[in-house]
Amino acid sequence: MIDPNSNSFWRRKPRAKNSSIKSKILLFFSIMLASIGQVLLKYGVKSLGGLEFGGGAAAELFRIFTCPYIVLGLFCIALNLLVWMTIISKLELSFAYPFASLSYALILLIGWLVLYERVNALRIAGVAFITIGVILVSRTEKKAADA
Amino acid sequence: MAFIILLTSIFCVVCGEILLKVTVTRLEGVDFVSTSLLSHLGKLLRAPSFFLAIAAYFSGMVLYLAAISKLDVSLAYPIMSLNFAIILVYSKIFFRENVTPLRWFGVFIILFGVFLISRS
Repeated sequence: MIDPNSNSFWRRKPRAKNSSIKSKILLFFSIMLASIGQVLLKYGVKSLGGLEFGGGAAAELFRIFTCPYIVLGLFCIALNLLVWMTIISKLELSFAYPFASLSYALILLIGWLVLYERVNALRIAGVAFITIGVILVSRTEKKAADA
Repeated sequence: MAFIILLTSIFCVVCGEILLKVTVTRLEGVDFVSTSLLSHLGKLLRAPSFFLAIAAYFSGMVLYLAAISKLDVSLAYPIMSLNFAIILVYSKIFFRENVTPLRWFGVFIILFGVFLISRS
């Protein structure tokens, strides 16, 4: 017997419903937000010349929360929480969660393009493996509602 | 000691993720994108599991920072990505999700990728 719900990597799946397409666009958006948030935080603490809590925590916290990059970064992360909750209310957690690893790859890319961080062959290989892994996971979709 | 802190951090992050999923399931799905943000936000702010999730996340982050102040990031970072595998186990146990071998395989490839990045 062939289970019609079995997830075959090789067989083409029936056309996804609208909500599923929306969830995937949101997944992409969520990864972007998470990565941009992280890069903004990094850029923020860099622009502050590193954090130093030794000379009074209150003054340092004031400095942190008045830095526009950090505030914007935290905003992205908070917004991402809402987007993420929308995603996991429609998709299985074990399906959606691995996609978050793409933000590692995206952070690397943004770090290279914007923050001029160095990228070597090992990092590129790492990004390639993460991407392949996510593509494999993306072939196993089963919506939370059917579970 | 730093190692125990790191494992506790992973535990907290995983708990946060599970609690978020529990929250949206109990609210019978949330949608902050196409429907009224405020009405959903109101529901969310009355869900105790949401605050537990945030607390767990936040503790996880603080513990991670505490751990990397003692451990090398190149060691802590790949260990932290173990939560990708742990989430799969818990999704299967708590939410009875259909974790196929291909999904497992994909996550292990991802873990290997994270490991490579941490070695660079």
